[in-house]
Amino acid sequence: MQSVATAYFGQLEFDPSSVWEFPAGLPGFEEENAFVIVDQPQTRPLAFLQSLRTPGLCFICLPVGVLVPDYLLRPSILDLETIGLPKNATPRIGEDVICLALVTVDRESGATANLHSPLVLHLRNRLAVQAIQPETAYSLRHPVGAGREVASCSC
Amino acid sequence: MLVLKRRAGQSLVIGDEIEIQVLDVSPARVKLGIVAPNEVSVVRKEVVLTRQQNVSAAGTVSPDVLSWLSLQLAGVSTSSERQDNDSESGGPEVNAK
Repeated sequence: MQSVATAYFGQLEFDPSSVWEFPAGLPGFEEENAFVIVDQPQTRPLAFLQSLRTPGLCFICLPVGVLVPDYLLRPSILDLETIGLPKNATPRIGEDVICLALVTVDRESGATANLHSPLVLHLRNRLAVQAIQPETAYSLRHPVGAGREVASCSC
Repeated sequence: MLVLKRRAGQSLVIGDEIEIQVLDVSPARVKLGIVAPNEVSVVRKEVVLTRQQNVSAAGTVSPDVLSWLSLQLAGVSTSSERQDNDSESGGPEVNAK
């Protein structure tokens, strides 16, 4: 087990095999190449993507299936290549990849999830990318909150 | 906003050093070539929007935000997740999924 200092979870222990590698980082965080997912039973289905490089950098995520059960993932060829998939691949959420939306909370829009550009995590090789989907109707700020239909998620 | 029409093969010039060439036009797509100095960033708009959204998202985590968000999502059926985790009393775990 290794351990890393974090701003929100203190000293966090993790198994090196649970690290997700983002070869391209994330837009705006291009130097952030390694994260772990932190899971807390009391805040599920939210999960936290904690940077191994920057203790204060932690994203809140939701599996896309919690918000849109039949979410259609159509990554670009470049994004598929970043996670080691061929250009004609159609990765299946829950089987080949995990698909997470980053959550933002602000005073005007409330809580929203970025379904337009989800994080796509390849289960077999542990590579990940933020896939800015070239053709999609999903929103950068999909509302998250009470009163919405929320589904159980098997991913 | 300045609106211009161009055909394939025509160009626009912005300032002294930036040129946008319309290389190809097809019903669903326009192919553009951009000539600009290295220090000028040229990026698809959705990358800029994603970048901005990521920066907002990074500023989001705090204990009050987390409790508020959990309340918002209360009532979500996560029975399939809860039953295979016994460590309800434990702190954060790194999920090796």
